[in-house]
Amino acid sequence: MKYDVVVIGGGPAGLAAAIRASEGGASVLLIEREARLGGILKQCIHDGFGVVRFGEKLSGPEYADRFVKQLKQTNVQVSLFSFVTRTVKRGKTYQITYVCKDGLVNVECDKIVLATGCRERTKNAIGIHGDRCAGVYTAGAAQNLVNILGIMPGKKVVILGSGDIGLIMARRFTLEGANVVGVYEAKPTPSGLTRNIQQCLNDFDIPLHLSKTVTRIFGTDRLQRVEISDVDEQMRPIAGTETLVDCDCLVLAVGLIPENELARELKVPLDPKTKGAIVDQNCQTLADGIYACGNALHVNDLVDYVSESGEIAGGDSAQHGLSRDLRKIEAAGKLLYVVPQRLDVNSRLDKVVMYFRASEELTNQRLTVTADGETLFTRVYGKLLPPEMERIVVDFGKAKALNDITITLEDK
Amino acid sequence: MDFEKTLNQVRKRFGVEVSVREDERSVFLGGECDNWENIVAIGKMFVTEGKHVVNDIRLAGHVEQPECLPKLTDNALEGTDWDVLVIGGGISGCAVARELSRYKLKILLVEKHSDVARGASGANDGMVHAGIDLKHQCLKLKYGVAGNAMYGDVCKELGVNFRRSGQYVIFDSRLIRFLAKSTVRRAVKHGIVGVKILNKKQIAEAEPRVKDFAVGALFAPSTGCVSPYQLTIAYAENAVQNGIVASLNTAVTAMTVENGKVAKVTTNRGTLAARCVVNCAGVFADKVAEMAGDRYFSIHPRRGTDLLLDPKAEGVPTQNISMGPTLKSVSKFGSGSTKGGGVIRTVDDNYLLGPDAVEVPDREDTSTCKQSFDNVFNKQSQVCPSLKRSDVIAYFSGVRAATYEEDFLIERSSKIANLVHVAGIQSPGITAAPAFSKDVAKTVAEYLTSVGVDVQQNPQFNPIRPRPVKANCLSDEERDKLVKKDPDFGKIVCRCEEISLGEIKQALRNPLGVRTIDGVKRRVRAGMGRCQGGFCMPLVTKIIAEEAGVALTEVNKDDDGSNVAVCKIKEVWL
Repeated sequence: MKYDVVVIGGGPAGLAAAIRASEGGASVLLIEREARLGGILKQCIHDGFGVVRFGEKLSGPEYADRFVKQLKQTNVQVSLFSFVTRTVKRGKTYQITYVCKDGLVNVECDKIVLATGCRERTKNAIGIHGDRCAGVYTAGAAQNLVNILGIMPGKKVVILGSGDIGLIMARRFTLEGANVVGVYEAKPTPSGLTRNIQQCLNDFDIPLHLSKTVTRIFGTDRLQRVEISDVDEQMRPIAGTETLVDCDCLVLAVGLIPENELARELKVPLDPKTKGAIVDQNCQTLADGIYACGNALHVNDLVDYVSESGEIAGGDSAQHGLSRDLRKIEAAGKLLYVVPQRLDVNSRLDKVVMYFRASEELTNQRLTVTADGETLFTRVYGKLLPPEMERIVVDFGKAKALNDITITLEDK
Repeated sequence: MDFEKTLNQVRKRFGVEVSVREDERSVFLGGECDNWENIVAIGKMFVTEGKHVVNDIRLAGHVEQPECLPKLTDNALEGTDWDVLVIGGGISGCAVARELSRYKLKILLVEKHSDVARGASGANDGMVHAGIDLKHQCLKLKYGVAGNAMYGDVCKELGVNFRRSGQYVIFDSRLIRFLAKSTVRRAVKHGIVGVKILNKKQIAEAEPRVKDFAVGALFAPSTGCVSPYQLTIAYAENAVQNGIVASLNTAVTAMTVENGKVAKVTTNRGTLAARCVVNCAGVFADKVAEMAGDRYFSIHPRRGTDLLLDPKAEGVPTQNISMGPTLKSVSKFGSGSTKGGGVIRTVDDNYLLGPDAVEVPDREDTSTCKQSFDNVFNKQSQVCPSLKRSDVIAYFSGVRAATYEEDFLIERSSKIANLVHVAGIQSPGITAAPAFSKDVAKTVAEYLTSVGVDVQQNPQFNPIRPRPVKANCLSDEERDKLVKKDPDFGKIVCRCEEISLGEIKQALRNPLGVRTIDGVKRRVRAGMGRCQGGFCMPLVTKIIAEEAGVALTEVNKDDDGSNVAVCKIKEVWL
């Protein structure tokens, strides 16, 4: 079979990409690894999804369902329980091999949209030592156990990491009657959205301990206790500050990493800061015809933006590509990262969506986008937090020249 | 032995007073010391030709960890009668059981954990050693070299992957390279084939990633690698297929001796009788010997930590590389203990760094610690300077069952007639197991014959253990055919290692009846990849519950009591 576009991943980014590509006139195949569409949204039964896009607070499954319903109105072919085993470039097209219950399937396509989401960092990634007992789970795995399988990973829970999923799980465990002993965060500031600190911790009197981390695990069969240590400015544990906390479950919400196995296989250059692909304003990677969107591109904090980047990628993938002329977008000052990292001056320039994060908690900042010294965009921020991704729309079309593009965040 | 002289040295070096006595087999040490490493060092000072050290020097203030014992108690084995009882389901016990299954005998293998390969056999780097670093006249050398030569055939029979990949010991000085000539001569004498010294150009060609600092290398082509737990599992499965009985969650807790023989053996599943008992109890081998009043050696646990790298890690040598002695550490080489680990490419194409060697007072202390992690990482960074901390996806420790003589102890007891010890099996134990297990089986058969048992060959013995299907190793055509036959092989459950539902179900139908998360992991690698089970663990939990017909809350990670979940939702208050 030959398709114009193959979208890999049926979570919010892939759903949006497939819908938009199909609406743009492309023949589309959507490949999803699991038995159902929706990705991680399926297990996110809390609300708060879609505030930006729909002005409503939906649950994860409800948010996904809106896109699944929309998808059904299109001609997108969906292949569920399907796993891509190989992607090869053949001339100007790509050959994709996937395995599903019917066997091994080969398809050809002009464009690939990578919407493979992200994975969680594990206890090993952050250097926790000790025993290898049951009761230590990443937050996503714990959420699956509780919300999908309906079983409790523990009754007395320590949560490491104040990222959103850690906070959500703190509330979820509490609502199920478990005792959440506390949320521990190695950074001096919380990692999750401010609204989640309020709604998930403060509203339930769950203590948040900053500048502390779990350094050791104790337990023969199941977890019995964890060792907590204070950390210094570099987030290294300080010897002599160890205390023991009894618990039967440790939930790790210690960060997400874009999943880029396929991008690597296709030799798509990655950005070491985002750990996703380097893309232009249309979410096309440096490899012609390969797009990346959603959390595979960079870890978002709102699903609304995940869908948006899916739409950008899907919409562009449906168009017959002109040859690109890519210009580098330099990120300067106190920026953690900026997406896109490139601007294709041969494509649409007037409404370029850009996402950025501040490198640290900052007040009174000015963001400026310049091209060859000319200021194209400027905005003042009273407060910027690294957990909260910012989105701007820049009109590059009005620039006289686009050789030297810089985005800068500096003190006002 | 002149103990006074040694005792004086002990006083001088460690400032402690220890007691010493001896009998015809052993030197017994007693007393107290406040440092475990010193206790081990003192033990080693009393090693003498022809005798074993039993070191009972206590560590002051230390409360020994209680032994991890099964929670299960029943009478499944009560009153049963066996020709042979094999204690311990590590590589030794499983290989011995399999070799014994060539005979028509009633054989019972007991393992206290919920699966085999739970001790050192499941937590080492899987290197099949050439034996270049071993000294003369030791069992390690005899069985190591013989075992190495058997590997190709054994792994073929047992359906386990094995790769004879060779090993490079890197030198960073010309002097060491020169001195290595004696190692080559010794290798020739020991019958280790093909060992040679490579010059700077040759090693750079063989492994370009070490070209900046290697002035040469010792190359041992017969070194290989195997998955040590998969080999142990395969041995156990083949033994069961050939008629032995494997009883998991079964610990030996006591023995009675009558007329110089083990008469009754008590376990948590009842008291049984066996005509011959084989002690393959690993770090507890001396404790088992003691149960029979036969403690003439002691085990000092030595922990080793290995780090597992993401197979996608960049800049890692693709060959098995270890740093040879440097000018500073020259005395270490050829000492018979650990070479200090290396970078190993496993049969599953992961990379392992390590292991280190730390003397620990507790036999089951398989915890990891930052110090060992850092030591291994920093040490192996020498051969792999571009290595990043973030490339490490997992780390684990195993505890080696070392005797003070640092050699295998494989013999029939001179005191208890029907007791055979297979003790002190540490590196190169995995390498040596195919060889010594045959000798142990022979020893057992000879003993049984001598006491009037009619030992016959097992006519049903089949050396072949079917190789489990691994879908992503098949060609596209074969894989397509497999999935069309059984669609479960097309449903990927573990995305990091690309493991299908079909493979997981196949693993759950194993002859040992192991149905745990880690049991699945050890058999088919589901959960061993970069996400470390974050995605597939809940799915595997569900598959186990369905296949085993148990509630989700009854699924264990490993031993009984290691339940994935504590209760259903809405039941926390119940």
